[in-house]
Amino acid sequence: MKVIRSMVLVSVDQASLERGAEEVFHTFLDEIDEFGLSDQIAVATIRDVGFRDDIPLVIVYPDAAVYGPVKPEDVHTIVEEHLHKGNIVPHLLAMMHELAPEIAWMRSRKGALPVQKRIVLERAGIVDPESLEDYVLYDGFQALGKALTQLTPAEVIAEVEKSGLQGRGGAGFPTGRKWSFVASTPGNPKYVICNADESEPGTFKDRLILEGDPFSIVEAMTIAGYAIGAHEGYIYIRGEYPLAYRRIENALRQAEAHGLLGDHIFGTDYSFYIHPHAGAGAYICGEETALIESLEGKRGIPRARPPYPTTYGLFGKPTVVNNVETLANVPPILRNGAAWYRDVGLPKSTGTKVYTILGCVNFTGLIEVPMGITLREVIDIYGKGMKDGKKLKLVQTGGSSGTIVPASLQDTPMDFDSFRNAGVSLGSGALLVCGEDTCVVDLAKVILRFFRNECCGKCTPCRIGTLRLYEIMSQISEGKASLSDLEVMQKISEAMSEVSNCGLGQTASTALRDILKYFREEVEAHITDHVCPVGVCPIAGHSPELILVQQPLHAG
Amino acid sequence: MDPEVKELDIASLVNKAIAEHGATREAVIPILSEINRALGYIPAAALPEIRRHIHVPEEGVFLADSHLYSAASFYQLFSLRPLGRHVIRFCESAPCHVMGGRQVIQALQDELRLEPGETGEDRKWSLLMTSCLGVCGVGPVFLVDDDIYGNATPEQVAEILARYE
Amino acid sequence: MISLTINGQTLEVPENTTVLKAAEQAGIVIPTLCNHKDLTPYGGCRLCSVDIQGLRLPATACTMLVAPGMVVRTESPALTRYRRTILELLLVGFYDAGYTHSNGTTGPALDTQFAYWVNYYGIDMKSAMTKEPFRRIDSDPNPFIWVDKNKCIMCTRCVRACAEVQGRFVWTQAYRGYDLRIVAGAATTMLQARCESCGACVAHCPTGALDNKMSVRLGPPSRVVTTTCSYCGVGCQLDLNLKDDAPGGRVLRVTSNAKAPINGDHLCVKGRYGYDFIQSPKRLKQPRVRKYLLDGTVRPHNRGPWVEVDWDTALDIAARGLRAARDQYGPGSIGLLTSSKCLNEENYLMNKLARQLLGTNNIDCCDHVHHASVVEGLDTALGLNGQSNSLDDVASEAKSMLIIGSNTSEQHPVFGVKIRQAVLRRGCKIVVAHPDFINMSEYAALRLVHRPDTEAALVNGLTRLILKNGWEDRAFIEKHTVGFEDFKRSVDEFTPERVAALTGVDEKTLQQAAEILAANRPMAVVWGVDLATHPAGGCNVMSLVNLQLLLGNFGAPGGGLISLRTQNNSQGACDMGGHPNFYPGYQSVESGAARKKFEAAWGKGLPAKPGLTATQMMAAAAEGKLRALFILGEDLLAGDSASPQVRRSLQNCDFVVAMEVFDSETSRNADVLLPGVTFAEKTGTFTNTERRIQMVHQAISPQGGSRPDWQIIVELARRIQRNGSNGEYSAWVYGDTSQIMAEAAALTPIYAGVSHERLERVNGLQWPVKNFSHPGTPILSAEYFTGGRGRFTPVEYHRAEAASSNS
Repeated sequence: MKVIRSMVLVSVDQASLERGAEEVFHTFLDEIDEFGLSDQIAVATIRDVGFRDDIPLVIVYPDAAVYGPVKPEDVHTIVEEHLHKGNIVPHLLAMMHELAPEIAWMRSRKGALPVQKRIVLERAGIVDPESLEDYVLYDGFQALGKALTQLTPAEVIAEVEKSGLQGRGGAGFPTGRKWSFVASTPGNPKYVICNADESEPGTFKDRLILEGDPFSIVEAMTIAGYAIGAHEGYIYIRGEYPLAYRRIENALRQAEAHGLLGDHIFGTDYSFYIHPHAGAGAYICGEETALIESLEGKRGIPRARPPYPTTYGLFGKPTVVNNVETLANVPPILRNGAAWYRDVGLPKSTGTKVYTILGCVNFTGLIEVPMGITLREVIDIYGKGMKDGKKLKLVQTGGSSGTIVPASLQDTPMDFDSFRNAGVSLGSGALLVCGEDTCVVDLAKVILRFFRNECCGKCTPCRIGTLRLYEIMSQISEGKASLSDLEVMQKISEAMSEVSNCGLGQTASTALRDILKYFREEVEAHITDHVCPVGVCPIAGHSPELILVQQPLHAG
Repeated sequence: MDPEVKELDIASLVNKAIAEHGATREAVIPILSEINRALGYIPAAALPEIRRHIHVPEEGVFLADSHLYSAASFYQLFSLRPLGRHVIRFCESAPCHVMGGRQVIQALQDELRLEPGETGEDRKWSLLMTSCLGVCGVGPVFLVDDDIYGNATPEQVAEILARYE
Repeated sequence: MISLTINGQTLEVPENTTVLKAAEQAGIVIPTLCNHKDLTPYGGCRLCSVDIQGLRLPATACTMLVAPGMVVRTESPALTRYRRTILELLLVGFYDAGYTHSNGTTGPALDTQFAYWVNYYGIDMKSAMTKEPFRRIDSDPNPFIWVDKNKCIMCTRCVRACAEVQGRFVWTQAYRGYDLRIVAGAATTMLQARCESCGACVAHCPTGALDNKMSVRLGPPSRVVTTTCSYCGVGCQLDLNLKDDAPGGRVLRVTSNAKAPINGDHLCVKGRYGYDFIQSPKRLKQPRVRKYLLDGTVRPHNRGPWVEVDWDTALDIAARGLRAARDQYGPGSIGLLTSSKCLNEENYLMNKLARQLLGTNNIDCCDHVHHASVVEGLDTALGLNGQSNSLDDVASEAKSMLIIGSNTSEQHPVFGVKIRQAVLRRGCKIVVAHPDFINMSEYAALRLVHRPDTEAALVNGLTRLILKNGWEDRAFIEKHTVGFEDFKRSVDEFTPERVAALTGVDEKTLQQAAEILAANRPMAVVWGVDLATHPAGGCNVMSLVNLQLLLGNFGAPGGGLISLRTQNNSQGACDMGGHPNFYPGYQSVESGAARKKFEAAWGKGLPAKPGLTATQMMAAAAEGKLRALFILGEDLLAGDSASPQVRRSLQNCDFVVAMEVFDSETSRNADVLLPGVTFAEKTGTFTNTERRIQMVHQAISPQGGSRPDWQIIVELARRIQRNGSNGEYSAWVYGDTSQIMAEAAALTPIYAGVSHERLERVNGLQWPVKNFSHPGTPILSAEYFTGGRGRFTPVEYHRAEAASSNS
């Protein structure tokens, strides 16, 4: 396994490229290879380094050393002295008396290198997802074997607890604690449910795990079953993922055929069966009690909680419900030990997180990085910068139910605690990047429309609240609203956040509230001036003359 | 996807679905899925047929038509009325929208001369809006039946639609 | 017990209590809309959100269970804000066309639970709601239930009521989010979705979205009278809603009353919607006599035309005719048919009239066939004259039931619904024996589809299997029965093969039935008129008695013999001596001691031989031996019993006096027709099938010139009575029906502790009520059997055979 200890970022914005940055980049790759350091040093590119004379810049992590301007002939020195021997090269450093805000983040950031570390996505794209042999070749089923033959259920739970693994579906609940609770709750039989109803807009990480490494989920669920004393599991896959469903079915079949699932696994006393179940198009079924209702053949309506599924779950029995990504972390933890997992990420937010990068960036896709990376790094290093060089305006983190992070907060480390302190939520890891061409009213409208469509209808504040919020936002986008409508929305949003029956209602107006907090002037422009500053909304009879670059307000 | 489905067809479809998924309450959603997939929608006549198999008071299982209707009407992938031969599902969630979805849906509407939710009179096309499909990396996205089209642009619309009879 | 604090008040409640219920106990009101005490909590309206210390967000009090040391605050400025927002949001999609209030203004209904909370939070409903209807008003074509979805707030009480109370699952939610809608069945009409029009959904709807078609928009009543229903033997209590804008009052509608002992908020379609007969224009309003009686001529063949007369004339003629028959042809030439629909007090007076004044035991009530079998079966074998257990203990405790010869859902709907609840909620296993697929069959764990009239053979087959497997209750048989050995031998021939050949029920099914019933005790046997109404009715009941004696299902709640009496006062009519063999309280006319008591009380010698049954009376009338008939509130020619023989008997009878509320086939054959009143126009008591005596309260004045039946009987009696005799109760002076009941109670041991005053206080008593401090007897255990022992009665082969061949 590669253990990256250092990262080199080369600036490749237009100006840098004109000054030979591309050659610098390739020279670094060659030199590092020459010194035999390819397994320890990662090289990547960065676009947004601010307006400077001393470009191309080369930034070396984690030392926070900034070199510039760097010429191809300087590269050898940097690699030999700094990367190989560990000594910073003073005469090549850039003038740092005024560190540009675009790169000032490296001084204050906490956390590990922003290098991808594939734990749950280790095999995706590498193994044949339909081949049991491939899986086993890549350490598959070792963790299960260890659990069943060397560890007691209590020891399995202890290891997971020690690892600090927290739920990756959005709630962040400590996984080991959940398992421990169900293991000790009286009741029979018990169930393990894998929540593969990934429907949060912008989120497709679970899809990749299910389609790319389905056996890992089979193994993980069986470990969970062993830990809590369950003999049956269900995997609820959303209906829009037919390929994932087929691959899981295939994995179940092959595992069972080889004694790795079903009766007497590994020849031990333990038996575990997994039933695949396809959903039929309902975001709300990602809520664990709604998922259980749907599994039982009914409408996906969230139950009153308490009781929670850990006491009263599927068919009224104690049930563990875990997200796909959470489960995918389990076999590596058991294989390599809790201490290994704790080493990745931060003390309070251990391990990695899968992020999906979407929106107005050059590269959209999926990355798996240790906890603690910042948005700026994600956008610049992995998103390869804003599309068409537009300015960043905001990022919605965690899907449509997530918070809005204005550009001013893009240097906040992305871990559960830091984000919470900044009033932002990590959620499912979807990162929707929006540039200056995005109108916040238009965005809010689309988000509220989603919740109006997906609301289950059980509770008053959400059922009617999501409709009213969408209606009013539509009116704002058409220039037909008044300022008092903002107060009405505030009132509805407050009630929804406090007294809805489930998380959908509680978070449906999160984006709206953040937009009003950070971008109120832009919203009010639609109302009082009948103008859409970005020029997107169908405000009748007015052409978008003014294009204001919105300065986001800082929080508090 | 013939709207006038014969009684016998429904009965045999239900039997097949029951044989595969079982005659229990938990099998209701998979059974409805099978019927929806085979016929493109769930005809009203299918519900009492399903109920017949699952309602077994002798074993303490009570199921009414109303239970089945409430389940069938809840889920977006099910339709209770016949749809066109080809069903377009356009993702209207935030990521696809931000990546240029507005222009693509406009192109689809113009090309098909249908509003979202409508089925053409010739029953060839149904244009439906849907929530996030989980392929956001290549947004804007829309489905035509089981085919996924990503990185869609307004210019591609006509050519894509022409592929379907 | 769990201790918690609500709004600073500490209290103790049992485990599994919700915060809402705990608050109720502490006298704290939390606003609710989707919650209802009859239904499982939903947690949808969110109005009852309260703050709980330690929880980040408010929780709904209706779903939250109390925990030790919990600290709850039910009020705060924030909670008030949320509640107001919720109500305002509900009004966004709410339109109430309203009606004209008494002060002349038009507006939405103000007396619904929804309106209450809207007003409480200071919202003006009319200005906050939608300006126009957005759904069709009165959108369902069924005749009883008004549906206006403009007023639906998605509380789902109707859905839960139909599922949990009625067990019918008509209403459901369809679609989702703001498109959420309550629909019937698979979005069909209510009747297509198999609605039974019981109105439970209406009773539970907090906004009036579901209302009663017959009375929607009639507005609130001036007053409400709680009384007992006059349809079937279940004896539901209901509220007659009245308006006093017409002289004597008029009935607006019927509503249920949550405090009703047997039915609570629940009624059936008859009780809830079958009230327009009370003030129907077709009511008989004036007495009539045949013209020939006024002319003093001979009776023409078809009796001749009617003439409307005043009360005195009619009563004089009636009394004269009855007296004449008695004096000329002897007391045996008179027959009285009393009514299983009229008050106990009226039945008592009929029995007194017959025996004291007319000197005859020829008194019976019309569903005599059912009575006969109940009497023959229960009385002969056990000495019981009513069902042994109560409806509620059977519904709540029985682990299994044998339901035979009873189309319970149609004949005793509210009890049928309680059985459904027992099946759905508790998993009670019911074995339904009936030739047809009846509604109850849908809930059956096992169906015994037997040929008509083969019940006795079927039950004998069951008892034989129980004996063969050793499942009988030996201790009970030892201690509380006689005749076991003879009985045991008698069922030997009812082998499964034989039973299969006779009844059509195969061996395996019979075995399963025996297993279910024997393994799940207490087991209750329920039967109704379908079993009892044929010649072998008595045999059928005896075989069921044998079954329960064998299994020892007596004394505990959930067991026993439940003979469902058909009419609202079938039980009471018999109780009050409407029977040729018995004085009130099943004291035999043949018993010297009993006869002496009544002779002393009524100051008159009484006939010692049992009188004619109704069937025998008809036969005697056909032969010209019965000369006069006095019929109270029964139509002998209604429906199935419209036999040509009965018609001929009536035509042949010299003198027929009928007391009726409507014209009927019987009254067409009467000589004197006296208009009586419905249950809404008199006060008295009914006794339901579980021996429960309940008050009936007058709500409106008698229609037209009609009079309460008891008053008519008294007037008649006074005209027949010559001189006063000197028994304590020989007079016919009653100020009101409570005095009649006082007299009846004094002479009837099983009613000894019954009085109107006491019934008003305790709202119902089940006899035997031994004295005024005795609480009544919900369950008749083995100690109530004659001599403490029940008798096994061999149901003989040829009788059973005859029964099974009588198809």
